[in-house]
Amino acid sequence: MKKKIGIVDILQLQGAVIVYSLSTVAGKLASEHPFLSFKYILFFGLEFVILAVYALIWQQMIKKFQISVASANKAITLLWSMLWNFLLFSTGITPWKVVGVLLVIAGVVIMNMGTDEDNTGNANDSVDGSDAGGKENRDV
Amino acid sequence: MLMIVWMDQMQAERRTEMFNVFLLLMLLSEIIAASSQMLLKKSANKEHSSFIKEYLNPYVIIGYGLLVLSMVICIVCYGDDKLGYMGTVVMEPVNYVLVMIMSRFIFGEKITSKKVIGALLIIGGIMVFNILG
Repeated sequence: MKKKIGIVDILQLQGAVIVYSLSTVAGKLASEHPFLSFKYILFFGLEFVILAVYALIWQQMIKKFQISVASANKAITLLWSMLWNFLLFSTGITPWKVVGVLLVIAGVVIMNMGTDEDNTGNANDSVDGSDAGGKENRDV
Repeated sequence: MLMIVWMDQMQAERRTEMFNVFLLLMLLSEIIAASSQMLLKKSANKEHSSFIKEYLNPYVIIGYGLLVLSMVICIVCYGDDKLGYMGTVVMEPVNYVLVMIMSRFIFGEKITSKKVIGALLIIGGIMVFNILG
């Protein structure tokens, strides 16, 4: 787009994606405690805060990157989740499950290819809830 | 005779085991999340009289309420041992498919062939994950 995208920008984008994937970790941790117990609320709150932080970073990212590029990167969330799953929860991952995850990632990437052509109402990107004011999505 | 009844029961159990209720619950969570996005988008498309009203209007408030509801359901699914963390996370992109369908009807957004292929890959991937994995 206007400015050249450097390695720092790409790292930032991946950073945003990692932050997002951590929200699922917080959700998983909340699930390990009884509904509305102190720790449940704590981790639920954490998930919410992480999502809010993510929304703020994401807002900056879509200024730099085309929405299709940013969204495609967001699909990588699943790979990060697999890493967290491996490191923290170690529930069984079979080769077919990996294949399934890769197919889903491919699907997200393909779905988001070419979304930049239509700048009207890209509802996909309100995933982040951050465009409630409708100030973004006008970067085409 | 008793043996046959018992075996029937075993089979019935296995059948229900193959289909996890939490999978449906997660789908419900995604439907709620997608509906929430429709509401937020509706608000975003409107002209608002003030900055505050861009955020404090029924669409946004209900939209975020639904988002929280979907998060709660999501957490219920994380807690299920069979679906588990990955099984829940991998369902999340269903959101894209639902948003594609809903925004077609609500905002008249086009469904391109790319979107259809992507949607099929997402659904196929989830099926591979749950059936073969």
